[in-house]
Amino acid sequence: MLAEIARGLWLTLKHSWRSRVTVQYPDEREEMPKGYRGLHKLLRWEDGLERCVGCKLCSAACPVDCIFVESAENDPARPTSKGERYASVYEINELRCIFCGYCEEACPVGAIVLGNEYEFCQDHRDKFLYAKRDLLVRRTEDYPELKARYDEKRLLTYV
Amino acid sequence: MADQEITFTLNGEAVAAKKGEPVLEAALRRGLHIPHFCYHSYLSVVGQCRACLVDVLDAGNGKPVPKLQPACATPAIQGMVISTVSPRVKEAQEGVFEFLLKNHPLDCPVCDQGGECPLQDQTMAYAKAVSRTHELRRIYPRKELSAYVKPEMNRCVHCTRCIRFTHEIDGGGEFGWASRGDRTEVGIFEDLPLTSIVSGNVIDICPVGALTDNKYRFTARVWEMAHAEGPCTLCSVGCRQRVWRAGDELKRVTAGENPAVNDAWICDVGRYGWSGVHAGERILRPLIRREGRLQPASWPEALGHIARRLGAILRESGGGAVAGLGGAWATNESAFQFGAFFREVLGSNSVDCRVHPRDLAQTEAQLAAFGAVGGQGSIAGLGRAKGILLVGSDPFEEHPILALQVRKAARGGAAVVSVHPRRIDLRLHSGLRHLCPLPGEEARALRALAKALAEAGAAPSGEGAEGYAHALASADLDALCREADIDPREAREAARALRPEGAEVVVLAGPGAQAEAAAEAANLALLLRAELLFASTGPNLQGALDMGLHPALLPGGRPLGDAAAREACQGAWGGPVGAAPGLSSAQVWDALNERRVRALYLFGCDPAAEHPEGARVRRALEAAEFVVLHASHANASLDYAEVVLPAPTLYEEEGSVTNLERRVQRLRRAVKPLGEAREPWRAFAELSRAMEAPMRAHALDRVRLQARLLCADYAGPLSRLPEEGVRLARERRGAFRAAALPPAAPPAGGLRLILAPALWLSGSFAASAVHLKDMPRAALRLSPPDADRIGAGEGDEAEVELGGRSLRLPVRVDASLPVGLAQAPEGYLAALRGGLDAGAARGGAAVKVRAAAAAPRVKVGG
Ligand code: SF4
Ligand code: SF4
Ligand code: SF4
Ligand code: SF4
Ligand code: FES
Repeated sequence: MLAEIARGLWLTLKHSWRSRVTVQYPDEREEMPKGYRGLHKLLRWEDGLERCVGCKLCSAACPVDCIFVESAENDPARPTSKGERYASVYEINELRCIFCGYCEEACPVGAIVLGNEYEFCQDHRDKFLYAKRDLLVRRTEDYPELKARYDEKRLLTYV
Repeated sequence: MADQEITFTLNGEAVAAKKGEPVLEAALRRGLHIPHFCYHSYLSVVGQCRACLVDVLDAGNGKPVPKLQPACATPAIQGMVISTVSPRVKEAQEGVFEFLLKNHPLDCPVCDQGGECPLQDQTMAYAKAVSRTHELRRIYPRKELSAYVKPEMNRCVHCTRCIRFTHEIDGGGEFGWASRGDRTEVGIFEDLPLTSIVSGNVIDICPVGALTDNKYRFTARVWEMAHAEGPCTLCSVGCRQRVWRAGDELKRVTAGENPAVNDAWICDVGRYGWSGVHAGERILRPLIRREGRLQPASWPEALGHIARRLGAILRESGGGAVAGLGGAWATNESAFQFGAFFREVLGSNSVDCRVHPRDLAQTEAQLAAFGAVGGQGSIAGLGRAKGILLVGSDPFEEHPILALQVRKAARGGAAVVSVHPRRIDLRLHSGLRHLCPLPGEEARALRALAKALAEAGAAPSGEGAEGYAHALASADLDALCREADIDPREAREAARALRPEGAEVVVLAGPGAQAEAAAEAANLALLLRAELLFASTGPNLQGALDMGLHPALLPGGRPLGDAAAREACQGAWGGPVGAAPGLSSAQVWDALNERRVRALYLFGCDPAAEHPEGARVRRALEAAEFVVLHASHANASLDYAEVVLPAPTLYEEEGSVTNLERRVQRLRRAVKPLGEAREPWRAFAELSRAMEAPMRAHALDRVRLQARLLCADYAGPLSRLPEEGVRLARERRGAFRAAALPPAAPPAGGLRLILAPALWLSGSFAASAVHLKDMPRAALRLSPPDADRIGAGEGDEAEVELGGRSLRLPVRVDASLPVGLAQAPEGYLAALRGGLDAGAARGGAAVKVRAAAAAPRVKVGG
């Protein structure tokens, strides 16, 4: 029995010499690894046009069917995206989402990506229905870590 | 010989084929896929895309063919051995696909074809996974085609299916190509816009997203949708189609395949008519008129109200005081139940599905000649006929897919004779002969044709033959032709053309075959030993008649006078059936005015607008004590109704319908009914309960069981229907009726107006179909000299004055009209409530037309 106590104490002692792993959240925050799958972002091209063309492939790939897309035709004078088509409605139910990343994989233009953000608590279930205005970034350059992700994919480019 | 069965070997598997048919067709039927783009089962074979190259290891004679062969252009021969997997085939396939993709934009995510694209699918299956293209792709200037077909020619793979469709099937020849090599550009000729009523088919056959559906554009993806396959219910042809929905919304309609009816084509009315389901003035809930206004009510309230009112009338005046009209726009099941409700619950035989006098005349003519309606001909027979007689029919405007069948026959060498006041256009270069009688004299022209046939040696035989032979013998061809205003020489030529030795002839009677012309068409069919088709406007007129919606016929077409038939009905329904025939739709109006009939039940019909004698009908509706309107859309008869019940459209109902060749097809519900609409057969059962005389058939299978018991030839179809339906043909035997022709009308001076239905303009359903608004607008058609005379050009407005009323319509200059004749779309004039009554006058109504003053342009959009 004594031997067991000694072994326990030894373990405690050993850990007190090791470096700390606990992070003082929210004062301190961990750097997320490359490829972390957090809250979705809809990205833009460098010229500000939306990448998403409303093709609905993400919604088809989603195993829990939590993406809803409605497409419409671009006004050639004031296009929203490149090509003729854009997503007039884009919604993700983040409560249903299992953060599998299939949508990102399916997207042919690198529009939908899973970002690094994991802090998105809400006080009502309805608020987890993220609409386009919640998902769309203002400038893709503000998210260098996301840019790297779609740069790795071979993407469709448009004439 | 041609149908000889042979077998050949494809990749080691035995494939059965008809001798000489393309290897590709046989392989596809067997479920063995060979890539292909230009080949289409219903178009000519051109063998130009080269995607289908195969290796013929043994051409049936023990020797291999040195070069690869296109499977679409290689006839199947007994004992052939073919490989599609040999290294040189693989190499060829990869090469063909690489060249196809060299200029094909990679915009599948934007393209509507994505997900149902033969290029996408076959590229995945047969092409190399990597692209070596670094050059810029070819870019065509952007052009528009039509309101329905959206072009994106950069995607075109030059398969020429669209070109072949418009040249061979549709005949308009709108598509063509320019330039050569990889600059080849497919498009339409600038002076030949794509306005054909079957233009939408190019969307279905284009194997890429070069031609897509402008109305469906970007509204859904194919993988999000489900489809119901079944007959189109907008006219009586019943083309097979697919109705696509996403969730509870209809999205589009595409063509289905039925070689016996529509091959693989549908018309644009069938393609876009669904847009009337969600739009327009749908009746969403029951309405009861209170204090002069129709106000929403619940089903029990509305049914209770009807039960009370009808109950009182029954008690005071008996069942004969209630009449019912309609049923041609309902399923067989609902039509059956409508008749059963009248005969069993109300004890009235006054129930009639033939609201338009034309339908009445045509069905009565068939009953007189054959003892039954329909079943005397087939649509497929029309397509392979060697002679065709069109009576008062302009199929491209009335039943577009029949026009394609007539064209198919003409391409196969058939002689086509049209008896119509206008020189109708079938887009045929040869083979079409016109006999253009004065309007209303079609019967006389037919009699003249019969006389010419008799001169050429055709002898009537069978029942009534002597009488008819005598009538023909005593007829004077020249006098008949003079009175009908046709050329006797042309009549003789037409007669000769229609009598190819021993070949099949089909008589197709359209909406213009009214009154005596319908009877004469039956005589001619007997004389020519021809198949006979009557093309009605109501989609299920044939089925409704078979289900007993006729004042003197019980379900199954058995006469009311037949005690055994009445007993059978009593056995099925429980109540006795009166032996005295009821009032037909022709008699009902006077009876209403004279108060012999007090209540009128309108089931899916709109006599106030669609009856040619509108004023008389509206007076009768005014006089009626109690009118029920049971329909899907608000129409002109709504103003007279005291109770309105909502009905589903035929896109929203399960059941069966019967087309003009008496083919019973299964209708599948594509979406659930809008609002509170419930199936009419159910509504009748509930109404009977409210009247405390519950019908036995309170479930669909019960209705079907009764219908099967009472309509002998429907027994099979109603229990098990194959996908392509069952055609209930009847024995082709009838009796000649040598009725004297009415005296020729004195030559009328001035302009006469005839009304003819245009499929996309008639009826409240077409009126609410928003996508049909891009079809040609309702117009007054005038011959060029008449247009000149009034000083109106194409598109100008004209003021039409008729019977004291006037109406403005845009003018269409139409060289197919003879001088002195104008034409306007039927139903349309009347659909403007309280419109013009033109159909009553035989030979067209005298009409005054003048160019309208330019200032206040009234928009009369179709
Ligand atoms: S991460 Fe997965 S579950 Fe979440 S939206 Fe994307 S595909 Fe759907
Ligand atoms: S996010 Fe990507 S996959 Fe989803 S609709 Fe937009 S373009 Fe298509
Ligand atoms: S437009 Fe379509 S159907 Fe016509 S040639 Fe091009 S690919 Fe073929
Ligand atoms: S021809 Fe008649 S049945 Fe065929 S698609 Fe057109 S409307 Fe429908
Ligand atoms: S399908 Fe045979 S060559 Fe095009």
